[in-house]
Amino acid sequence: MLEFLQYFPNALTPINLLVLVLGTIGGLFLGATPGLSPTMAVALLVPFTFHMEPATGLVLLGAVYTSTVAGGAISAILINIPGAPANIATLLDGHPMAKQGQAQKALYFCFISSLVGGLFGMVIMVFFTPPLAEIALEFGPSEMFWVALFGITVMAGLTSGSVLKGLLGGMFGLLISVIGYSPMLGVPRFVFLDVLTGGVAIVPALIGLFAVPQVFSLMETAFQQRDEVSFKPQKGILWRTFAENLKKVKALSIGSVVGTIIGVIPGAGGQVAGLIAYDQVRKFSRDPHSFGTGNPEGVVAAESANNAMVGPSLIPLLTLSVPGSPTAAVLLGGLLIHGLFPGPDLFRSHAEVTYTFIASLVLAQVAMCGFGLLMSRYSHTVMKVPDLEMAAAVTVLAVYGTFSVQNSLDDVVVMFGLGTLMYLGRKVGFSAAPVVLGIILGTIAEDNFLKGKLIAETDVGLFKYFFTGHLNLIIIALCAASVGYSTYSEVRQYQKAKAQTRAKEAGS
Amino acid sequence: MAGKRFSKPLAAAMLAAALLLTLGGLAAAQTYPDKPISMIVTYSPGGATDFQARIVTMLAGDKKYLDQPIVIINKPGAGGQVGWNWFATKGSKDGYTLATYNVPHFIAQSIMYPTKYNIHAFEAVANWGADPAVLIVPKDSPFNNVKDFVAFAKKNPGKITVSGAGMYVGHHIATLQLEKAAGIKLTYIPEKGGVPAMQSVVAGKVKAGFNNLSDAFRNQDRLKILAVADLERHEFLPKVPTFKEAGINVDNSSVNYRGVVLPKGAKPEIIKKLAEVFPKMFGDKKVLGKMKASGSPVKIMTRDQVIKMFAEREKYLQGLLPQLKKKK
Amino acid sequence: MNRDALVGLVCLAASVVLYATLGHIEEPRAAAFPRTIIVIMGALSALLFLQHLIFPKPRPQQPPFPWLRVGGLFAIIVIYLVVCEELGFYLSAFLFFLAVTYIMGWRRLNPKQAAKWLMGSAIFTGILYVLFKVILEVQTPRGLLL
Repeated sequence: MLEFLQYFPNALTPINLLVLVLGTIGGLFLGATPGLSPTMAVALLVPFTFHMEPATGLVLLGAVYTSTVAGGAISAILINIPGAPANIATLLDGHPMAKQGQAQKALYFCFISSLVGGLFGMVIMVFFTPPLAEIALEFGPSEMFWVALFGITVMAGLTSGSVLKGLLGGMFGLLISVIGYSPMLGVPRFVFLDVLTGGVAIVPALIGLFAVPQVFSLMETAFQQRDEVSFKPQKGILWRTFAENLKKVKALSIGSVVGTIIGVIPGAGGQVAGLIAYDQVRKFSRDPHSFGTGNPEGVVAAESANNAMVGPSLIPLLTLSVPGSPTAAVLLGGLLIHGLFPGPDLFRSHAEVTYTFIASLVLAQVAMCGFGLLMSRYSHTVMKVPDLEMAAAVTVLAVYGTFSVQNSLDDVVVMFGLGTLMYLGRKVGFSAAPVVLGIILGTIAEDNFLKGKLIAETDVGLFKYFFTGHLNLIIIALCAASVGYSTYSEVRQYQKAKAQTRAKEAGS
Repeated sequence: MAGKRFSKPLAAAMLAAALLLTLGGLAAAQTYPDKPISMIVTYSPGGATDFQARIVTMLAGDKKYLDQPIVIINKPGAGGQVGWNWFATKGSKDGYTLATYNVPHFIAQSIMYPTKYNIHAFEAVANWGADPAVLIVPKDSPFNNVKDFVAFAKKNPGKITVSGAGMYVGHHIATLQLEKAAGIKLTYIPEKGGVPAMQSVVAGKVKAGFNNLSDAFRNQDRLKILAVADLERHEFLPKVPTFKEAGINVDNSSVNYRGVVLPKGAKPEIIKKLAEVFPKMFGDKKVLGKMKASGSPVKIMTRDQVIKMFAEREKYLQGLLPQLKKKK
Repeated sequence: MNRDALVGLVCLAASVVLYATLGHIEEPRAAAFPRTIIVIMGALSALLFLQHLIFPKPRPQQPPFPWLRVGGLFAIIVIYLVVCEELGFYLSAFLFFLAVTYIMGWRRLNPKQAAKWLMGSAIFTGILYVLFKVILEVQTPRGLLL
């Protein structure tokens, strides 16, 4: 903590501040462009940092890391396409808000919540890195398996429609995750076509599942008269939204805490923090069925969680060199290039650079919120683009974004095929969010189960390995609670609906 | 007369044309490269191969070397197979597409899997690094040396879990060699890369592991390093014995070599040019400085040395691996 | 039959087909995880089928599906994907944008609109070019022109 304050002024040198501001603005734009993932943005910038001072280079990467995640929310809210898996939960309520003419308000909620969550996460990181690093180290195969299972229990809650369809979509996603060569066993699975040899990578899947159905939907409505919703910038809503946002204490705190916890779990994919927080806020809400129709609490929960994740996700990264998300993995490469090796050494012999980096992340949260709010004022221009032009532009960006992840046209084919399938699925009531969650969690669940099984068989046996130990038991309890609560609320909902129809029948 | 008068300029023109063509041909070889070169890295951005590749090629744009930058393209998947398959079948042969290789990974894969490549699908250019595998155990492990380790494994066959970066990578080969040489049985746990494999050892989730010397060197306060799978001790870890010194016949076949290849069918002039420039570029003070700062062991080898190394490794692995396949 | 019940039936059939393809995987450990998922999928599909067979929900009338427009866009995208490697990224993006606006928007096509779309396409491609090629130096499919 002391070191943090001591080195804080280093982040304020003119050159570092300039890089911070440019990185933030650039990151917001790149993040807001559908099809371009934060991972790609950071990977593109790593070579730029070669010729910079280590601290300045890291300030740039940190600013871009922070702002692309928030920028992804812009396209999620305005055109229903998330910039990163982190933003999926944002669009569930953010896009309905935009459709109701509240795009600007939704964006304000998004950036203010991001700031609150982001600062919360950074504070936790600055104060509690050593104990949290100890906890992160405790997560082995059995614990990770249960974490993945917990994520799977969330799937049912991510659709506003049928629970069964939500779960079916999730299973489909889990199945997609096993396509290609099994990294553990080296066996090909479900490689029906040559393009599937490498499996389905997360970014092409994300782009396909969200952008392609959106393009076709735009086409469906392309020549219809639009409902006259006012997209004009509204004056004076900033402060009102600000006050309203801070009153949503429950959503903010659940989001921030869930985001922080998931960030600390090494390799869990901070990618799912938003979705899990969204589900928790929904479960604790008095009116869970308003979620998915434009409830601002959904946006608040999702965005506070995925920015709260940024700081804590650096704990396993900086102390154990275990990245929590693909973007963090690229960031790790950026650190290594400058001779900064994660571990205790980083905080001792490279304290100056490390703490400057951390300080700049705090500043980046503030800059991201400021410039984000400013950009939100112009959101109406995006909403005014005619559907036809929007469909064409989004397609080009989707193809480009998918291609450039690993320079592969095969990925583009996979993206488009999966997207077309999703479009058909959407027509009959499936949604994309559980599918993406399945793709992310599938590998985590399978790999850790197999690894755990191998280890258990040399040691205490399968049952004892997976069902003993405090951490295992805690996560199993959480899984049980999650399933139990979902079932309970489903039954209650069913009874309510029945009572309503009965009352109606009696009335008529 | 007219004919004669006419023929002189004609002859001159023809001569000039021929000269121009030859010169042009020479010039084409001399001006190569005249646009940026792509280099395929078969692992994700941020991994050891990726960032080392970025460091060793950072000076390519310098006038002294290629005068054109090298752009890294990541094509990860299936332990590198996706990228190498693509490179072997679709990589352009005009010298503007290069790829990095990892030995023994790609050779072992070409023996064990139906890949579209083997050592003959690539033209070696140069090698920049060699990272030996080291046997590591958690800090609080009861094993203090290879002898303890082997003695325990003999009494408890299959009870020692050994983590490594994946199937048929150097760490896996080292595990197999150790099993064979010491007559013991271990349980190999393939992980998704060197970093998670290291993590399992540090956290005590597995009893031991094979990992990159450079990574073990950086984490040495949290580990015990028992032995190096190489012929000599390494300058980073002068106190750690080799397996041979510890009385176990494990050689350097698992050392992870990293370098650059062209696809088969590339023009000899281009191979020659790159094979001349790359070792010099890898040896530049700036590159060496960055490599040292990032803890990456450097081993520069020329094209001929790499070709020899490929052939030796293939021969050895062809002997080692099929027995294993049968054992399963 | 009710539409959702049909969806359930289709998913059930898909699960059966996928289960059958598992036979090709030699390694039993590699087949275990997908097998579990497929079984769960089959069970869920059966539940979905039964749920809607027994308690059919009335569906609101939906507007007719615009086959021509969606199918047309699908066809243009397929052509775009086929040619984009040959033509290079920027040229194909430019042509794709034009094709979508001109063909799909033919009813509105007039000289003024045509010029507007041409401009729009050029500006869009131009921004892409400057951002990716000039500023970020990204590698894109190389083609005839750019």
